Amino acid sequence: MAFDALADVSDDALLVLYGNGDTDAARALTQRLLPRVLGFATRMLNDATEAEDVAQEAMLRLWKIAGDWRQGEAKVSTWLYRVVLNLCTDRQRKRKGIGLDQISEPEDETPGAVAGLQEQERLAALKDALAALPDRQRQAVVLRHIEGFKNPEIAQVLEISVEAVESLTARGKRSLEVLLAGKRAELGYTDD
Amino acid sequence: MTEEKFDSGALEGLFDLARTEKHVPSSDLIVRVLADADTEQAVCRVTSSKPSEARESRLAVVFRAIGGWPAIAGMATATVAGIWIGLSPPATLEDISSSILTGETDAYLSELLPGFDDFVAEG
Repeated sequence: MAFDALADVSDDALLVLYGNGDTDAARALTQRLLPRVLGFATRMLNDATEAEDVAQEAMLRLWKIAGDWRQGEAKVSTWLYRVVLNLCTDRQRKRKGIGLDQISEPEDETPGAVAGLQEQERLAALKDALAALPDRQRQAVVLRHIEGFKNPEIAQVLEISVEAVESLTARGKRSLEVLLAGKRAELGYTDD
Repeated sequence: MTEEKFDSGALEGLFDLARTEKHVPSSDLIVRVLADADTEQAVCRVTSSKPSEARESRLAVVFRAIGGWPAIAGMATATVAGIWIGLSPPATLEDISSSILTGETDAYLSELLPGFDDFVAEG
């Protein structure tokens, strides 16, 4: 199928096409999913190089499962985010096993396309605050408020109940407000 | 201390900002991912085109189609019984079969099947 004609094709239909030997389907899926996967991995790991490795590994697992994928049974993005999350969790566990003193400072080489020093300061403050959250709260908050997933989808990614997702996101947001308290003026938020 | 307050509105503003941050994959990463895709697709193609090692032979298909071992056992029993009856038939069966085979005595269908005449007459 021609590459342009794949723009309106759903993710799972593309995956089935790929499994059936369509070479353009892989390009379409990569174009569509890789930036999201990379962004999520970067937010989880705060390390551009590790995030790239995770993104590649997650996409590889997607290619491997294509032949067995059953259309309509699961959402490709939800499945893929769960894979990314598990890969990130594995790496975070290894980091903890290495010991804090042996870990180099996170090097985020992808500040993104956001222009302006203040915006970058705000983003850095948010990243720092997110990094200080417990793992599950951070995952739930990022998926809900940055990745734009709905609570039932987050429940599938995290493999917990929707109620637990609601609780995690609420507690995560409260924790962020506490962690960011005192930085309002520093980040350029002034009372009008 | 208004400075200490970081309300949810400001937090939503930070989330909005984070959503605008684009994580553009490097060309190197894209090349690696697409190379993986090609490799896996080729593996899948080879696997699906190669006859499966577990594929059944024709004999196995016939064997399964006729009912497997229970059917084979039944057929073997019937064969042995047929040979045995053929070699040493019971006395009553021997009279009938010898008369049919040798023609020494005429045997008619109506004798073997007494109701056959009525069946023929009724059409």
